Amino acid sequence: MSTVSLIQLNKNFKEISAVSDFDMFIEDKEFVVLVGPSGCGKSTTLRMIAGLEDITSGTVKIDDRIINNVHPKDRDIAMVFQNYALYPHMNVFKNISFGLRARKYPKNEIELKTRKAAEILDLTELLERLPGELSGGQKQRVAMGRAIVREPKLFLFDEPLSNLDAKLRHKMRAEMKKLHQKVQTTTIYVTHDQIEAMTLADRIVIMRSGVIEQIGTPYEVYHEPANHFVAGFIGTPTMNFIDCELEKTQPGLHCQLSGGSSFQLDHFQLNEEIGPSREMYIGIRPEDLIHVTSKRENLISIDAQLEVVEPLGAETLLICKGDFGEITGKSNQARGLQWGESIEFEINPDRIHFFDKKTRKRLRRII
Amino acid sequence: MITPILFMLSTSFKEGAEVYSLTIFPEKPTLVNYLFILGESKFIIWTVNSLIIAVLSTFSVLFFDGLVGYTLAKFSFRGREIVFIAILSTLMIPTEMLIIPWYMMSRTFGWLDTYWGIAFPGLMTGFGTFLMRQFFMNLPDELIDAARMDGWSEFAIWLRIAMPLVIPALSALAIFHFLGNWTAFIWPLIVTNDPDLYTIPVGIASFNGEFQSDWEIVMTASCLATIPTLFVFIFLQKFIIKGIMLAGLKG
Repeated sequence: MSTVSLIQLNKNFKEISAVSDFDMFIEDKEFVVLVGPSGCGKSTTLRMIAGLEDITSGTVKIDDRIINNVHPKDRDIAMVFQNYALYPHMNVFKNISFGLRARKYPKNEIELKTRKAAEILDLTELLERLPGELSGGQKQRVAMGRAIVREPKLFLFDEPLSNLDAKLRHKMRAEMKKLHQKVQTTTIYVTHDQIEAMTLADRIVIMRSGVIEQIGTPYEVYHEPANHFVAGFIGTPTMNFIDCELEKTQPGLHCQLSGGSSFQLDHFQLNEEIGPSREMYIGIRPEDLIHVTSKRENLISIDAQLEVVEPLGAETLLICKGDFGEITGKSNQARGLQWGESIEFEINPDRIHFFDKKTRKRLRRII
Repeated sequence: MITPILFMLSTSFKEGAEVYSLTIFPEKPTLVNYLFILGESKFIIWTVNSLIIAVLSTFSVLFFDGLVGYTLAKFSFRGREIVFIAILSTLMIPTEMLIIPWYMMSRTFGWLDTYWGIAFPGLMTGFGTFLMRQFFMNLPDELIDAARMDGWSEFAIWLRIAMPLVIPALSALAIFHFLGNWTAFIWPLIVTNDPDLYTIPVGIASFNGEFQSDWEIVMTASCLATIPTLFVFIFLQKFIIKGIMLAGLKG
């Protein structure tokens, strides 16, 4: 039960900056996910909080206590590692209770707590086994058991599910969420998988090259991405980006796509003055590009030639090529579509994202 | 290969002139030599001396070489490479060159004719440090980090996590070092004058007089001296099992 403050956190490896000016306040009981491509500094940030990595500059606080120079053993933090890091020479019981023994709990209490943690994670049958005799999912649960048994102030997870196969990962993700609801400990979780981030997090921190790109709830980062990078990183299939030139007209904006197509957005204004015209990217998520079969009036739409059909069961992805580049849209119609067919996609003007080509920042619609 | 050992064994049961005949089976097997060795000579005392020195210095080597090897493998600090190279370079100095400085040192500090004097050159070895460093380099950092997060001190992590995982290396090092100490001859010979402090090799050599050699006695003592080494080897060999180190990682 703790809050965490990260203030102007910096980490340099020799001359290279791994994390720069990381600023964040994490609420009690919050589940925060750090996400980003590999090498973005998310694991380094986690290791600095754990105390396994020195801090170049900045402050880490748990509650009101500055822990910059506190040895990891005295921080009361539990951590689950990507490759589990179970002690190979100890059985499951000893692995789970190892942290309690370090803190000199009485024997019967160790027994009690360990059995309780094992029960929560469904490990009671396996307590006598050695790590070498466990499957990947079981090892994962032991690693989690080792963390929860101590009832620490803070949980850190470093890509804990990345070594599991897809099915098991899905299951463990749900278990992880249940576990957090049960134990209610403040948690910081690192992953490169944006689906994990979206499903688990109260708040997501998206990082790139050591810099925070955006902090927000899953809803915010998905629907209101701060910039081009976040918009492209969150969501599968990824957002479609099209080069365009935006011109101010009366009463609204004219959107000239690269390649020749264009559409008019009436009664539309962005939060920044665009001048007479401005180079932009527009971003549209695949689910906002709806395949329409009959043409209606006043519809904002773009045309493209069908290249690939990907039926996913519940819906169908259409990968198309237009004169502005490749786009991915969705259709409810799975059959009867021909390669090379001309497809018309309807666009909801409220779901178009505008990104400045230079700053790559997102502009918001205000009218 | 086994012939010298057979001769050693058979000679230990021979007596008088028969010692010089090359038969494998003695005509009149006798236990006289064994009775002499175990009863009248100081062989038991020498065995105890050898055991004390070999066991203590083996444990000392495992402890210090393990500790230094771990430090060199798992901590980064300024001058680490220099320290490592300095330790490695001691391997290039032959023992014979060191004996005179060791002797002068022992005389100055009053270590002549003491257990400490016999044992001190072997309490820590460059080879063992090198061996342990190489094994600890393969130890996954995550295990150490996990133990840190679990609340253990650096020393406890070394003792409870790192050392148990390099038991195969420790066993090999223990066998080498124990045997090396058990058969050490020149230094114990030089540093001791008191027969009560002789180790077995020095003691056996003392049966070879200036004018005559009691070969049957030498062979009998040698037979007895091999017994502990066999036990050490059999006992430690079963720990040399590879592959346990990585069993706790991945799926």
